[in-house]
Amino acid sequence: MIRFRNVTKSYPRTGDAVRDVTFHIRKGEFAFLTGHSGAGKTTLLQLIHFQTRPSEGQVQVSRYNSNRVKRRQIPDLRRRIGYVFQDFKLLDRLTAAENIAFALEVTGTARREIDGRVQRLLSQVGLAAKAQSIPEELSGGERQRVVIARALATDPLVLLADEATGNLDPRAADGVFQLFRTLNRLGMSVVMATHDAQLIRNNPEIRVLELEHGRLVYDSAAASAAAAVDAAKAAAVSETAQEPSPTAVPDAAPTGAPEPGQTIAPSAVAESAVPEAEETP
Amino acid sequence: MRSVREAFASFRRAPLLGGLSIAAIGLSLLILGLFSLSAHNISTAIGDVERRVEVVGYLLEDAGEERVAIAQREMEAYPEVEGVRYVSKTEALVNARRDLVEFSDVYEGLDMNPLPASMHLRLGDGFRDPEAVDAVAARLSGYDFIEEVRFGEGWVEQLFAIRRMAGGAAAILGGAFALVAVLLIGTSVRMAILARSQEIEIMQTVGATEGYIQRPFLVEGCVSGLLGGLLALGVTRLGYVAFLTRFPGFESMQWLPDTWVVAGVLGAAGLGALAASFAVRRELGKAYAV
Repeated sequence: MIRFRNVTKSYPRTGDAVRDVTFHIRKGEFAFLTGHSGAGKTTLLQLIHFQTRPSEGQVQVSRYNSNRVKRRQIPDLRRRIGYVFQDFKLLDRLTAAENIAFALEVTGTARREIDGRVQRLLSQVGLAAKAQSIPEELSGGERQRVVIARALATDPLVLLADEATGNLDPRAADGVFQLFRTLNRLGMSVVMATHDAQLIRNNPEIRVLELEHGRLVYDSAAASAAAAVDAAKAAAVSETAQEPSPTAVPDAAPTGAPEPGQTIAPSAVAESAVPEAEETP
Repeated sequence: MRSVREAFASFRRAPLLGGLSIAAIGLSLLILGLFSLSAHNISTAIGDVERRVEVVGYLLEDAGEERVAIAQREMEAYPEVEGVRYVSKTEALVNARRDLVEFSDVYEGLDMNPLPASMHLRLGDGFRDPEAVDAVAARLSGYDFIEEVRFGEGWVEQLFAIRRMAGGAAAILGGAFALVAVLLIGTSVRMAILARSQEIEIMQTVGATEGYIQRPFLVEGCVSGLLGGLLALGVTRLGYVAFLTRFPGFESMQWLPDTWVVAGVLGAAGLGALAASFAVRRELGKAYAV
């Protein structure tokens, strides 16, 4: 679904924002993207969204490759990717329903279909009763739900959330996160950039990608795979000692196996249980 | 349709900015319009003078009527020549008495007519430049019964120098004011883009096409140019009428030809669209430059 191969993104004045990053997020997978401020999380999301292109390496999202994509294909790609911002980016003069309708209208949805789809999207995010409220009349959590509904308007395959719960109180943040989980269960891939260590700790089954100064220093899927391989080898050695046998290594790596060229920092693996705990909002 | 609606919505959202921008474009184009009016009238005046350019060959006394008649037919066949007029000695004297009143006494007391007969060659459109005049004069000199050829050598060249200067000034001033109009429209469109930056960002994020995002701004540039052009046309017309009222002596001054008016207004609209496309490409091009 999303594949990074040795991706580096450099800016002339600030240098490398993302450095030699390789990973693969499968269809229907949920991944946290974490790291300190300026670690490269937003740049990485922008690379997935093709808002910027890699200086080196390549990004593949669905059938679109950063090295081969044509300019006119970019809108199609972006319709396959929902993007949720921390600061909402809602149009203040429009109601919740109109904000969603705007996304449908500008992407070419027939006018007669728009009203029905807006109602369905608002119901999906639990905001049917707030359709006629302008953003100013909505709470932070409600605004973020409108943003999510807008992001879902084009039936995306992937949802990118850039610190989407960062401005919300814990209860609203949990509500938004549960909405992401629901969408993920329905088959949508979700990449959620977050500082919230508690959220990551509370959901150990979700894959964690940690960036530090632009490098991918930890990938929980790769770490699990490595641990599984070690365990299998240890078991094989033990079995060999007791009862000689030709093979014992598992024949397939689990989901999220390390990619060629993947860099895993052992220290990051050790610290990963509580990443960025001191930065918890 | 949406593009037109959005373009006018943009004017409604910022009427002062839109009005100022149209006024500024109108002012640039007004100067261009006034200059065009002057240039047109100068050109018309030069054309009138040019049409009077003739190459005159004065005949020897013994030229012989038959030879002259044959030569006249030959001269009429020259590609540069629009018409040939033969002025006999008698006719020349009548003309002299009529045109040179101060010498009428001299002409009255003559026993014989001292004025020569002449051939007047009028040149056609496109053949009134110094080279063509020289060529016709040289051919005329070739006839052995032609004593002398005159064509006002000095002033033909001066006339063309004035015309060249007027043409050059028109091109430079026209270009300069067109550039000013382009910059103004470009700035106005850039400000409109800035005013809608959040909407544009959302459109780019959710996957609107480049054309969908850019079209309203191109229409806005086009409409700005068109309205500026119409404003300039209206004020130029008012200026023209006011000038004729104030200076009745200039009643022969002409209004611009219709083709110039249509070309000017459509050109302003095109210029607006062009300026807007530069601004749009510069401001919005990066979002899809993957």
